[in-house]
Parts: sequence; structure tokens; C-alpha cells
Amino acid sequence: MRARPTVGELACLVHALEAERSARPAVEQALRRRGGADDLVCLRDWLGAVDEDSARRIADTDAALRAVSGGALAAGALLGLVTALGVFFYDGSGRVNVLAVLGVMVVLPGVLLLSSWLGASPRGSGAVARALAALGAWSPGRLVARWSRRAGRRGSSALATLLDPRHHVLGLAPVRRWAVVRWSHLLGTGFFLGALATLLALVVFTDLAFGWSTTLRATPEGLRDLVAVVAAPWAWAVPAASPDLETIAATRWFRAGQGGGPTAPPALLGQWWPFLAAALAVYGLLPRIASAALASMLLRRATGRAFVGLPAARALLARIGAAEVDTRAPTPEPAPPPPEAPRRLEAPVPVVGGCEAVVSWSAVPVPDLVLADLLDADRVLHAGGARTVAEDEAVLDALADGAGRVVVVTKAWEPPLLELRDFVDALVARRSGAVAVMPVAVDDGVLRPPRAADLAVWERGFADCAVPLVAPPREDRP
Amino acid sequence: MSPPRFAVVGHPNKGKSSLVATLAEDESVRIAPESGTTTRAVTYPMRVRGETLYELIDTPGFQRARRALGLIEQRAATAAARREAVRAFVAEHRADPMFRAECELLAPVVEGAGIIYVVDGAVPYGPEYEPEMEILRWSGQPSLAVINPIGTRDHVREWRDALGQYFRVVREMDVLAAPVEQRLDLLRAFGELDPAWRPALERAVEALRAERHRLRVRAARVIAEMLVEALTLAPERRLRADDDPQAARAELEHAYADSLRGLETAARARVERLYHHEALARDEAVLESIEADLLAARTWQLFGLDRLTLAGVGAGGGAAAGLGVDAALGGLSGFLGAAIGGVAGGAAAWLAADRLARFETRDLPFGEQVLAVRAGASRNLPFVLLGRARVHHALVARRSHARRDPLVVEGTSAGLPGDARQRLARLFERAADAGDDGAEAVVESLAEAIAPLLESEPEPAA
Ligand SMILES: Nc1nc2c(ncn2[C@@H]2O[C@H](COP(=O)(O)OP(=O)(O)OP(=O)(O)O)[C@@H](O)[C@H]2O)c(=O)[nH]1
Ligand SMILES: [Mg+2]
Repeated sequence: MRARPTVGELACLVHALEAERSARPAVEQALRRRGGADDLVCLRDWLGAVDEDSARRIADTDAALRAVSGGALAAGALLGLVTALGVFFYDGSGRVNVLAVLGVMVVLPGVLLLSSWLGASPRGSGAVARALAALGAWSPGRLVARWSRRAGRRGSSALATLLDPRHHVLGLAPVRRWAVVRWSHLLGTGFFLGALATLLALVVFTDLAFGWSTTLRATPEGLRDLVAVVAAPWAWAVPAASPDLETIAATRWFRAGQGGGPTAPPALLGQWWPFLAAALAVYGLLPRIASAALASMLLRRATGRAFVGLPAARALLARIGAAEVDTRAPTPEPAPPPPEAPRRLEAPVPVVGGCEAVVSWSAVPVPDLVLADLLDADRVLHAGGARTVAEDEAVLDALADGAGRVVVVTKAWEPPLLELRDFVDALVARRSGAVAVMPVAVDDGVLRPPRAADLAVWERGFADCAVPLVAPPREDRP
Repeated sequence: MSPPRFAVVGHPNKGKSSLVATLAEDESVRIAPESGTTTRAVTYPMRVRGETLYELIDTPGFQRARRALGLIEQRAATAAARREAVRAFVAEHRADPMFRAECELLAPVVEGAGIIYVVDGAVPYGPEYEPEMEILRWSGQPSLAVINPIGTRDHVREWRDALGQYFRVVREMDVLAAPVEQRLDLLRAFGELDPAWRPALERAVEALRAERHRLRVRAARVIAEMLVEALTLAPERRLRADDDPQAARAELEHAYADSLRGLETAARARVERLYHHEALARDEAVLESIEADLLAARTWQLFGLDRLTLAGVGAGGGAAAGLGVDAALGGLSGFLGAAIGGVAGGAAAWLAADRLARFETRDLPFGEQVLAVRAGASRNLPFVLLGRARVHHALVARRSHARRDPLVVEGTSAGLPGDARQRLARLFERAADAGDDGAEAVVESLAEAIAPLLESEPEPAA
């Protein structure tokens, strides 16, 4: 059996999805391989994969949510207690006014109940919606979000993500709404439980004198009819909770002109409490319990829908479930070895004075005479390029044991190859004279300094070589 | 039968890895200006639902081709023995540091891989290429040369002549800039090298095309979500008695622009990830301009329109005027024209050019006030966002995975067809009204409407 997702689980999912806006391809790829799972299972697996602590976090978040619900119930009960103590306040003088009790404890909460459902309807009509939106500054969701952030508990950041209305998450609105509606009904339930308990306690441990009193012109018969209608749901079962005309007539009370003392038989004065208790239970407590239950159901449904229906979740599922076309390397190319520090980033030294020989490496497209003239060289030799290794050897032999300078001219636009390094190393090993490498650019048979980008390639290529890189002499120099 | 394999070989630093990264859409390939960046052969298999259709192999460049050719020549007395000589060379020198690069690159070739030889068409041909081309020819494997002009095309003709001597098929492709169709074309050419390879490559090209289509649909969804989120965005700020309303407004507007920027950035990142551009650097300076772009006159002025022009356009009346602007700018204006079209009347256009945000003040109990940005109050906003998203998508969708420069989102999108504009305007209105509850349905319809608009990729600015 698969459990439905809880609100805590949804909160953790939303939190993870927000945090994972930069997705983890590896996790997604691993899930993709498994295949076959439905959306709910897939999302749960994903959550487990991106957050190995997710089970704990979910449990913590659900616990925090339960704590909020418990808190709402407790706060309601306290409120009910305080209100009931006020409404049923009786110090022996006067009466507890039944009409006032009905107004404060039944009619007012009834209006609030109605407005809470109206406000919860997804499309509140203009004026109502606006009035409720103005109340939004005190949104319980925002309060809870703030509380959970303050509380700094594990899982509380997930809760804050879920509940803070300022945090915009597409597709979460129904969950937020039903969570808040449910809490408000729990608060109401607590209120009536507290009020009822207080009434019963007062009835048991003190004696209350009820009466009814109004400035309006009212007759006992009129009130009797009203009471009969109000008591209709329970009169047939508990006749004692439906005051008769005798009680009603006897308990009417005027504050002025009667000297304040009770006139009716004291036994009759207590007769109202079963009626009030029943009214509180039937018109206050029961609707709130029913509302809380309905809100819980709607919350569960919204949670289940949001879990697999959040746009971010859908996008994730699409990524995981997409028919797989993959062109990339299964494992990325290994990181490069630490780079050799480019040893000669300084500008190449210009050639001064003559040299014994110039080697044109792999057919630099400049006439030999030009090269010889420019570098003041006795001879120009050729190596590399299309020539064989044996021909290179012949050049090396010809230059062996010399003491003058040898400059190897190369095309700067071609990268330095190891075979050039082989040649230069052999040259250095066989001669006592200086050896230099001169990468050059050529423009229509004229030597030019290499482009900066090309030079950088050469400087890196020769980073670990003792042979200096030199710049070509300027054309205009004699 | 094992899938066809293609070894991408050549001189160092000629864009071999760049070609592989582009075709394999893999940004993890090591590419650098230095020569010798690739030191080992790396395989990039192309898989469709787990089945490998072909493999690309990136290899290090030749370092001692002449020496290797010399050794191979010694072994091959006759032309018939050449192929075997190359194989024997690889077998013998596998562990020899002297020929590490040569063995790495020749090993897949002697095992039957096709040869993709890459050269740079911006620099002249030279004799140093001949030994390596000779070795490749001796291997006897089917081969194709790719001229990659790194920069200019100055020497392409020269290269064509030289390569024609060694390779039956010579192609030119600017690896970093080639549009997707051209890349697929090159892949198809790989398949032509051997009749046995053809079906696999044809299937691969089809799969890649289909995948492109799927990606566009998914990108459309990402953009639709971003738009709906932007339209339902309604930041607010408590106004206390001692607050300066002007400053509060500026602050709220700032916060609003921040949120929009956040939404756009997140959506861009998601689109980039769809296309496997996961580590794409963005030009943040350009991103910064969104506040100006979205909330003020800048967007309009970018197109050379001043407020008076705008007012004139608006006065012309509604959507028809918007069409007129599009026509006048030769379709250049794109979302701009659409945005104007949605606003009726000159004054509205004039105002809209100035501010896209609309504010309202609400009373709270106990004499407090809330200053809020009215969600969806601007008809221009979603069109501007969509236009920007289309430009970004086009750039990302065609961007080669070999590029290492930051992405600069610039340019304009092609104009929206009239019916698409109408449909979008209706959907935007629905999104703004729907609240969070109906959002999902609107996202769905919006994505549907946007996908075909990504189809015709807008041209990035020159
Ligand atoms: N402008 C431009 N640059 C390119 C192009 N192709 C490659 N490059 C650049 O050339 C340099 C070398 O590219 P790579 O792909 O690493 O070349 P390679 O052949 O793999 O090099 P090695 O691995 O060193 O042998 C990089 O800086 C690339 O950005 C191109 O088509 N245009
Ligand atoms: Mg490389």
C-alpha cells in the first residue's frame, strides 16, 4: 500500500525542488535508468536521492505541522475559556443574559464561520476578496511561516517555503489555503470545547442565575417561539434543554425598576443552562468540527494533487522520463594535469648580431636569401615538414660541434609539436653554441612578429624547455 | 554488429575536441587554446533509449607523425601490407611514451573506426600535414576531412585541393557557428562513408531531430511557467505613517524588478539545462539591464522609438497600430509591436513606455496601508518577457557546446503572427485573472501556443 503524501512530504519536495533549480543530472540519469515507476514513486525516489536525510526531514516537518494544529486547538480552548468566563460572569447580583450569550457565543462565531468559507472559495467575488485580502497581512500562514523560521527546527525551512505567502510557488495556492482554513477551524473547535467545558464547570461548581433582557419590546411568547426554533434539533431528545413558556416568562428581567433582586424562584433561574450548552454544541462546536474535517479532506486532496502536479515537479518528471537521447560521455573527461607554469611569458628577446646558421622548420614560406639576410646568417638549412627523420639527422650532423648561434625559425600559426622539441633538444645536446627558436608570422613572404594568441600557444608549449623563444628582427633594421 | 565508431583526428589545436563537443552536445569536453589539450582518447556514445547508434572518439593530435611513418614504412614492403603495418605499429608502441599520442589516436582506427580528419581553414596548408595524412591513408579506413575555418576562410580552397588527394569526402564546417541542420548533415555524411553504417546514422539523425522537437516543447513549457509566474506576481509593502510614499514606491518597484529578474534568470537557467548547457557563463552586465528593459522606456528606445512615436502609434488605435509598427520596422520589432498593439490609445502607450508596473494602495484595518504592484496590470510585460525568452532560447538552442565564451543575450525576435499575438494576449489575461488555482491550465495552453513560436528560431543580432 502506498501512503498518500503528507503535507510535510510536500513541503520537503517543494523545498528540494526550489533548491534544485540547478538540477543534478546524475541523480536524474540514475532514476531514468530504473524506469517504469509512476510519478509519485518517481518523485519520492528523487527526493530520497537528492536529500539523504529526507525521511527525517519529512517526519520533522509533519511534527511541526502537528504542533501548529495542536497549538491552534489549545489557543482556541484558552480563548473559549476566557470568553466564557466573561460571558457567564455572575457575582450574585443581576443575571447572566441568555440573549447576550447567544449573540456572543453562537451568532458571532457563526458569521465568522461563514466568512471563513466564503474567503476560502477559490474565486472570492471582488469586495469580499478585497476585504479578506486586507486581512491577509495577518495571514495565519504567514504567522506560522514566521514562527517556523524562528523556531529554527529541522524541517522548518521546508515549512517556511510551503507556507510563506510571500514566497511564490506556482501550484501551491490550494494547499496553503486549505492548511490555513483547517487551522482556523481547529482554533474554532478549541474555542467551543473550552467554552463548553467552562460552562459545565461553572454550572457544577457555582450557581448561575440566567435571565433574559432586552431593550426591544419582546413578549415571552415571542421568545418562546424563537427558542423552540433554536432548540428544534435537540428538543425531541433532551426536553430539559428546551425551556418552556413558564421558565421564559419567569426569567425575564429588567435592570431598572426592579431593585435588582431576583423575583423568580431560584430553581427556575438555573433552568437555561442545558439549552445554552446544547446551543453551543450544536451551533458552535459541531459546525467547526465538520468544517475542520472537511478542510482536512480538502487539504489531503490538494496535497496529493500538488505533489505530482506542481509545475516544477512536472518539469522534473519530464526530464526524468523523457525518451532518452544522450550523446554525452558517460563519464566526463578527466581533469587536466596541473599545468606547467609558462616559463617565458616575457616578450621574446630580439636577435642581435649574426648567427652561424638558420634552420627553417617545416618550410617556413620565406625565401632562404631573405632569411639569411635578415638574421645575418652564413647558411640556411631545412628540417621538419615533409622531410624524413633521416634528413633531420643530416642537418643535425652538419651543425654538430658548432659554437655560433643557431636560430630555428618556425611557423607561429602551427602549434609546437614534440618532434620540433626532439630536434631542438638534439641540437642543444650536440653543440656548444646558443640555440633559439623563433616562431614567426609570414605575410606575403615577409617575416612578421607572431600574433599574441599564437605566441601564447608557443610560450606554453615551450614552458618546460631551456631553449629561449625569440622574436623576429624588425624588417627596417639594416 | 557493433555500432559505427568515428575517430576525430588531426594536427593538435585544430578544433578536434571542438567538433566532438559540438556533435556530442557535451560541454565537459576539454577545449583550450593550448596545443595538446586532449591527452587521451575519449569516447562519446550516441544512445537512444540505451541503444548506442554510433560513437565519436576525441583523440590527441599527432606529435611525431614523421617518425611513426618511418617505422611503419619499414614494415610494409607492399601496399597490401600497409594496413597490417599500421596495426603492428600500434601494437608494438602502445606503452612507448614517444608515440603516446599516435597510439591513442590510431588505436580506434585500426580497430575499425572511421576517420574524421580536422584541419583549420584559416591558416595555410603545409607539408607537415603530409606524413599524418599518409599514415591515415595507410590504415585503409574510410575517411572524411572537415575544414574548420578558425577565424577566416582565407585558405579553404587551398586545403580543399590538398585534402582531395588523401580523402574522398571533404566538408567545410565552422564548428563553433554551424547551425544545427548543418551538424546533422555532417553526421549523415559520416554514415555515407560505409554502406553498413548508413542506417544507424540515419536513425541517429532522426532521433536527434525528434529530441530537438521535444526540447522545444519543454522549453516552451518553462517559458510559459515563467510568464504565468510573472503575471501572478504581486509584491506588496506595508506603508507606515512615517514612510515616504515616493521612496516606498521606488523600493517596491525595485523589489518587483528583482523578482522578475529572478524569474527570468531561473527560466533561462532551466532552458540552458534542457540543452545541456549546464555550466554556461552569462554576461551578467547584460542581465542587469532587465530592470531598465522591463520597467522603463529603455526597451522601446532600444528600437529607436521615442515616446512621441509611441504615442502616435497608440493613437492609431489598438492592435492594428501594433501591426503597423511591425510592418514599418520590417518585422524587426517583434514583441515590441505586439506589446504596443495590446494597449489602446495614445496616452496609454505613452504611459506604458514609461512604466510597466502599476501600483495600487489598499487600506488595512487600524489605519495602515499596503502598497502593491498590481499583478498583470501591464499588457506589455508578458510580451517583452516572451520576446526576450525567444531570443535567449534561439541562442541557446543553436549554441555549440564547444564555446567557452559567456552567453550574451542580444538581438530581437522575429515578429509574432497576428493570430498568435491575439491568442497570447487572451492567455496572458487569463493568467493574470486565474490566480494560482487556474494557473496550471493556463500554463498548459500557453506552452502550446509558445512551442511553435520557438520553432522558427529568431535571428540573433549580427
Ligand atoms: N573561433 C574559432 N575558434 C575555434 C574553432 N574551433 C576551435 N577553436 C578554438 O581553437 C582552440 C583549440 O580547439 P580544440 O578543440 O581544443 O582543438 P583540438 O584539436 O582538440 O586541440 P588538442 O586537443 O590540443 O589537440 C580552442 O581555443 C578553440 O576555442 C572555430 O571554429 N572557431
Ligand atoms: Mg582536443
